[in-house]
Amino acid sequence: MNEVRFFTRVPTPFVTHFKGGFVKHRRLLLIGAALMVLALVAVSLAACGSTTTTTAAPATTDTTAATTDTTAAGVEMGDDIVIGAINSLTGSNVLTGQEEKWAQEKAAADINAKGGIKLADGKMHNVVLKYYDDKSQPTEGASAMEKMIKTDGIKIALSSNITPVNQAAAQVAEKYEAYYHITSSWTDEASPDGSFPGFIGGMDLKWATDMFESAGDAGLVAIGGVNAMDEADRPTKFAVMTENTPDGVGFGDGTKAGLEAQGWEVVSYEKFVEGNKDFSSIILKFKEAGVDGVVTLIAPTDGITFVKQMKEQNWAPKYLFGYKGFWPVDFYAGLGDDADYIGYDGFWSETLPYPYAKELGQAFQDDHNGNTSNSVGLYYAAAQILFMAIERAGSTDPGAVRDEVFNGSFPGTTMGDITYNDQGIADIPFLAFQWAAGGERVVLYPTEVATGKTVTFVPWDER
Amino acid sequence: MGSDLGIDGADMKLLSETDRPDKRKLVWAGFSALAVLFFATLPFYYDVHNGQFGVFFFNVFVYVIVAQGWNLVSGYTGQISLGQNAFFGIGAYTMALLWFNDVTKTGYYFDPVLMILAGVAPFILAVLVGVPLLSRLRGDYFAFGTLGMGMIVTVLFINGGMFTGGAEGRMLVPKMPEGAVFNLRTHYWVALLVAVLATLVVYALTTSRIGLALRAIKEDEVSAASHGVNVLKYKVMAFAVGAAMAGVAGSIYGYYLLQVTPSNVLTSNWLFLPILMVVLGGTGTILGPWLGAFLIYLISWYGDSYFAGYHPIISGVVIILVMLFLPSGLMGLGQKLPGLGRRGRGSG
Repeated sequence: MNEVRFFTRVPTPFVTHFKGGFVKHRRLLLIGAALMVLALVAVSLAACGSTTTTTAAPATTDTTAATTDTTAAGVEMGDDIVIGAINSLTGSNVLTGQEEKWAQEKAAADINAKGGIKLADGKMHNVVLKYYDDKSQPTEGASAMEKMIKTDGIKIALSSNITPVNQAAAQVAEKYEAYYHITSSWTDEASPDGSFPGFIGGMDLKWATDMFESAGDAGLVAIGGVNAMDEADRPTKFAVMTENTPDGVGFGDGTKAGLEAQGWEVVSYEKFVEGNKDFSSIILKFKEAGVDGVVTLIAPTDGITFVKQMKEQNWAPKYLFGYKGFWPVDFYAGLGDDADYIGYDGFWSETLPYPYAKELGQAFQDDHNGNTSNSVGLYYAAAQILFMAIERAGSTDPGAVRDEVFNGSFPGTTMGDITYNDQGIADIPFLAFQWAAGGERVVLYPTEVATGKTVTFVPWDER
Repeated sequence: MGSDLGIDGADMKLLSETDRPDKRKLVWAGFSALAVLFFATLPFYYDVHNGQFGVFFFNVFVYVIVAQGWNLVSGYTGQISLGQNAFFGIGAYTMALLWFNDVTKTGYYFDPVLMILAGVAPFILAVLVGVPLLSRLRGDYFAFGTLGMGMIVTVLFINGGMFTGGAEGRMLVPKMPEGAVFNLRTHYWVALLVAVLATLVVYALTTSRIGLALRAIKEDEVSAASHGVNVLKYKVMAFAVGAAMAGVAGSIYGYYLLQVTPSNVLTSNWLFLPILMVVLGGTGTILGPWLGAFLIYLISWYGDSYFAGYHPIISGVVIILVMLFLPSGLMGLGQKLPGLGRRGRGSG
């Protein structure tokens, strides 16, 4: 009467079972067998440790053949260097994950086309990237790093581009002394009183480096765009609006504090639920508070909703600047001309005066139906730096490669000359952009690389 | 064909099968004991810290704990809870915040006191939330109520300021005692132990009078109440025990990652994956969560290595196949295959 149910909720009487017929049993057996085979195939494939997701090297090399190959310059070819890459292949971050993957694969293909990386053995080695899906989730980022280290024995990796994912993956890398070459993750250190734990810079990592910007300073890029306006047009009453997510709140708190520290008045700080479909109450608050400048962190779809409702309410601040969601081409496509004069952040532009920037931008456009990117140069540069570090180390020993990056200087990347400090942090300046009328990207800030001045957000009834 | 007593051959066999239920249980108990023995001794002949199967099984065990909790409240009691990720997160945060502020002053980093407290905190919350929710809401409405509770908890932790560490959470690496070295073997054993304990708790509860009450509630609440079952008491009890299990699992995961943030421990991964594991393995069965956790994590672990970017398709196909042909989960195979299934009288 009190038996535990090892099998199922409603046990089938034996008679029914007996009379069910062999055909039914066979079908069940087939399903069971298929599932078992699936599991066994997965395990056996894992045991083989084969690599399936890689960049295509110009010439396929295997361990034995590679040692006898030579480059055009007559240098002997060695084994491929396999580098891991944690990436958002699926999940909510897949859009930027794809851009990052494109840039990394481009960097690998470019260096392979030049003969590869020369190590201390005197041979040239092609680079092969093996990708691991973080599924846009920190817990999966940690799993991806575990998989990379333990399934494939890879101990050097390029990073994903989300801070929480990279933090989780870096924690794992630290435990197994694998070198994690991070980019695109907030670099902030912990505050002296410990109230703010910081991001990558606050983790005291020994096996990871990071090339990016601090969240606090990134928020101020919007001010760079303000400073590129005519003085009379500049807003004076700011609102910070952010999604109520870990990233969003981290950004919002940092930006509000940063704006106020620089003497700007923040009259409204609003948080909204991601996926919000009604911003009317927030817009109403902005109207009542006399807001004339908005800085926001918002997803593309939410951003489109917000701007459309601004238009419906015929409300337009002098300046609207968005992080995360305003830069994708899809955002402009979704809003059309209504996206004109909206500002946004970015890490890179093909107009920057850095080596190979223009060519990289053109290559991206060629592969993406003429669309431009404001990020691929950063990811490309990160890969360039890692390749340089491996060549300087002369080996793929993760400790030796890491030591080259800490305190290292790397000139001539697509992000310019990059220098890491003794904490393994390289701060890069963010860029402020604006969608010009017609959808062209205009660089507003830093001034020395600007391609135009900030245009005041034109009121809806004057367009 | 029939006997003098009017019982035909099939019925005779039915009776003879029902005389041997203990033997069947014995076989499964023996199989389970062997499996536990295998997992418990694995670190003696396999490098769990550095080998891929160590972390694989560690994650499976953590998911089993959460899944068993959900199985108890939803599989056995019929109350669909969508708040397990909140309980998981509360457990992780309880451990992290108490450790971060050195409340227990025990001085070591795998603190059983903190792990127990990590179960107690969500247990209390589940009682506080469960009484009003379970007394007034049923079915879909209760599910949405728990979903709302989970969202509230997440937002509270994100906006918790200095108390919770806000969006950045709490970094626990600096709190590691001097000289302490991370070794996954310890985490593996602890996770295994708790997973086995969670399974035994569910087994003990569901084979006792409490289990009868839970099943009665699942089948028909009104009927159960009319037979003297205190419906609210048992529903809240199942809900709270399930929450405690999720909380302890959260603390184990927090000790593993040494970083507790809203995006790590309050993510929907800790809600939907355990549900999927239970449903796939067999809702309302003891071993179903184990089988489901193993299969789902196997697909997740190896799927993206060999079908990068497309592995959700494999999971989807497996789930559809199982739901189409084995609506009672993989454990339903045991029911239907000759020689493995329960025969004769049904349990209550």
